[in-house]
Amino acid sequence: MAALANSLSLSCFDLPSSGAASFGAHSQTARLPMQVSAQAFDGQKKTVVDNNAFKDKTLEGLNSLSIHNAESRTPAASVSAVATEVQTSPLERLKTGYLKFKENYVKDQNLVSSLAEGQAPPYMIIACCDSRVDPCTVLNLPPGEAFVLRNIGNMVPVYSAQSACSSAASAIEYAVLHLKVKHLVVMGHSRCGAVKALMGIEDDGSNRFSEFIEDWVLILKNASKKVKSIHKVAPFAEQCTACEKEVVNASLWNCLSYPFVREKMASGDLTLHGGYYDFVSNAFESWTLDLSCLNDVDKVQ
Amino acid sequence: MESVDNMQERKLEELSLEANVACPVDPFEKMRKAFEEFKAYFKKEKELFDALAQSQHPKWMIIACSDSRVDPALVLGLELGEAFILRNIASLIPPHSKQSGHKSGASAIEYAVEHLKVEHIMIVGHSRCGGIKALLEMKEDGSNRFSEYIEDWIQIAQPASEIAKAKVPHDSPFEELWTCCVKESVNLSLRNCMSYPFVKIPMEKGLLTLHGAYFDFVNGAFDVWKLKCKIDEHQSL
Repeated sequence: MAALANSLSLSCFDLPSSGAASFGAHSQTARLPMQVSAQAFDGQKKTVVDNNAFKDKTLEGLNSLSIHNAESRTPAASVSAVATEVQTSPLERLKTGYLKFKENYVKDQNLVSSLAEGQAPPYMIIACCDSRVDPCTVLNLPPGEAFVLRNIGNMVPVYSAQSACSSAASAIEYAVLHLKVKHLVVMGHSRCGAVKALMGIEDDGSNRFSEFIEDWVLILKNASKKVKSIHKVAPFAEQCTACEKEVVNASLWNCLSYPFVREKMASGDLTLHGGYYDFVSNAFESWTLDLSCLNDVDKVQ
Repeated sequence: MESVDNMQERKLEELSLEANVACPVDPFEKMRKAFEEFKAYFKKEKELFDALAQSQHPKWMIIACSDSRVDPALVLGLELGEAFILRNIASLIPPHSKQSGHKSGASAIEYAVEHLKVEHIMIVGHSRCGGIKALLEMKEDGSNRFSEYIEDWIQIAQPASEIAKAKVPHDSPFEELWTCCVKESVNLSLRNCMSYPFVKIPMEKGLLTLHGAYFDFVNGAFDVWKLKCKIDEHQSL
């Protein structure tokens, strides 16, 4: 199995074009190593909201330390709370928030005691620092559900054999090998400042504006190059949207460059997913990497 | 004994079969339902979200651990738009250095302070932190190394480990040393934050406050403290 894991081709490849709407199920390029099928959360379907949403059979099947009847957040109430708190001191605001959380949390003593002993989250989520996209809020994930890495642009650098003091590499290694998460999700979002910064960087670096930001976002410069070549004539805003999704795919691809990720995927213990939260149009797309495509991957000796 | 090639082929076929069989349960089903509920909330608070769609103006930057039990937005009841949040193992910030490897922490802080103009940075440590435990158990000669990346990352907090080991009596229970080390690590990361000029300057002007915090989910407590930095008025000798 180790031989297989190391034989994946990691050379440059083309992901499906993140053009207008959804991601196609079939690649338009012969060398595509990944099949991507998109599913959009369709707000038009009539959905009965289940307040016991946390009792999901999927997760029970996947994870014996299963999920609890955490009480649904009541966002409406929280917003009014914010409105009245706005004049109070910043720490008072946090105190109010914490006391509300604690009130709800202690209602489930089983959850409290099990989480005090350890965590067994089924998900690892890699999301942006952006204040508008907290994944636990948007996807209503209670404590214990998701191990979360957040940086600007939800970017994952490619594997490097030399230790590079990498927050992403260490977090992924811990999640995959020690917490044994079942699903790794990279979640991009609309109006991402980091992606906009990446797209705005001149080739000669003449418009550099920061000490660290450009160096960070340039780890995924291939994503912006690709978008600029495919969407040459599109308006900048559209190019940025395409790049936001391309960055998710590039980060997923970089996740695959870690041997321990590939091994877990190959053994069926880990699935990689992409997500895109659009807070302009209030939509969430998700897609999954399909392992059967590994058949088409060139073996590299 | 099956040859490696045959084994690889068989494994690939098995994987292929598994992947192509219609999966009866969708891992995103639960998230899908949750998002539907969120969407309804989003529609209800249209004004708030229309404003957020244009831009974000969080007053807080929060640096928290990736641990699934300590999401700061959940724990502190923060609404979307309130806090710019960086999360990594043990909520560590390395000191300012142009030569450091990846710059995920530095770039996030720079963006938050210079572009979003946050007024507060809070670094939150927590009880039973696996990263800090790994740090405390690391042998100096590296003989019990267990990972490719985790130890190199958590080494950032090595000075905190030394301080904690000096502070806590040797015969104390491990939990005491663990708690002390988490708090010292928060303090270390706060001092490292200050080593960035774009943090130090607004702090000295009173435009930015740094806070430390410790979330104890074992005993149900959340402690906060401030890092004070003030340059007094010059006095002639």
